[in-house]
Amino acid sequence: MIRLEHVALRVGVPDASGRGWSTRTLLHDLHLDLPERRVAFVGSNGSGKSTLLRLLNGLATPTEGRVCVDGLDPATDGPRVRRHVGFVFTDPASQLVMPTPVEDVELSLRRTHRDRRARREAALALLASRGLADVAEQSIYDLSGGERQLVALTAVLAVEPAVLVLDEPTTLLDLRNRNLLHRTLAELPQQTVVATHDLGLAGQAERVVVVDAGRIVADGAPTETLAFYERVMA
Amino acid sequence: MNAARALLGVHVPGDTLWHRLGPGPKYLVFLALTVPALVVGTPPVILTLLALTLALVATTSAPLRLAWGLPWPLALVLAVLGAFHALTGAPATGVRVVGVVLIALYACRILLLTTPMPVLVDALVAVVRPLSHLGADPERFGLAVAVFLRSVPHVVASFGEVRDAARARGVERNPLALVTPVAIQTVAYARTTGEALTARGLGDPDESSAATMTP
Repeated sequence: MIRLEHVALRVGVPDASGRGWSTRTLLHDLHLDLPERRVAFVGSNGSGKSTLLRLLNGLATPTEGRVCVDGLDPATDGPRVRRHVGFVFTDPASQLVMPTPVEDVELSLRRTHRDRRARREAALALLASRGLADVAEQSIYDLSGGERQLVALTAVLAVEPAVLVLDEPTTLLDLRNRNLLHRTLAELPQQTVVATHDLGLAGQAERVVVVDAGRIVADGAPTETLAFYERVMA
Repeated sequence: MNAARALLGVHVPGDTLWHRLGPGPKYLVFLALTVPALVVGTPPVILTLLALTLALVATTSAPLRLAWGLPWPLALVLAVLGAFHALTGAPATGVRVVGVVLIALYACRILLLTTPMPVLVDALVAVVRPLSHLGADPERFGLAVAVFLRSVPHVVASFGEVRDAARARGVERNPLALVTPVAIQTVAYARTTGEALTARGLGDPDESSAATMTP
């Protein structure tokens, strides 16, 4: 289970005069238990939902409070948490390191598959399981946005994380690829936590949390919470 | 993003002798082409080595525009360098400076066009592994080289995008309008890449360091 215990996050920002620094609070005293298998965070740009997600695998560290993911604290046990929690970014281009999909998935498998041939076969099998066999050896620059996002997802899932965190995964996708990603995520066995502006994706969750200015302003079943969110944003 | 392939080149599958060779011999070919150019450096030697390197890179089965093509920023810089030396009475230096860069670039392409990145990384990791007793992390070294090879073309591509944007705004003659966005984009790219690597745990210490890689 994911637990946030009175988590606050503050950062230093240049003050209005440009001569000194002031403190800006990105997250205010968040207290959450997330046992559900599908959780979605929604909120306007800059509301803090992405920052909140980054706490879950140690990309950000709380200034106050504690984060706990299945008994692990990302602030003190980073490497183990990162093996336990996969993270998918908005722009897959930023997280694909290798020139081709198969090579990028192979990179994820370096720790678990020491033999190069076995590693390549495993990578090709994983890509084939996501319908990406035909593009496995193409340049990542020649893939569509949807294919790139699926490759990024495959590379993250290759290490079989128990929790999958996705930061606005459908933002750069067209409708067809968005629907494909919806279906793919719905079938995953992992606990998934997603920050999104895509209300269709949020509607698939068991629980939706609305974040505004670093605070939780609504939390509950998707129907009521998303209706509240749409009213607030109207 | 064709510029991604335009500088160092990415692996082009094939069945040439180069593809069948391991990375070790190809590193030696790289050294055999670049070291004499650096050490001797006379125009006849430079031009001979450059012709030989161009001929060799053409045998990799990569399309010639990938094998021989140059991204425009590099071509421009090399042209300016060569012209400067020619106009200041040192044409031999111009040949040497431009020639060595081109020989190194094309020799590097022989390796990169014919070697899949995982094979390259495995070879680097194997070379660095003996240094792990001194505290070096071979996996991290291999990863760093892979990220470097991916990043250079990205920066080159940024130049192209920024130039187009500057043209659209009519400020293409202002060097600051070109350099500043590229610098900012490069820093942002480095930051997002670093975050992505961290999120994937790729720079984390390997708990099963006792295991060995199969080269």
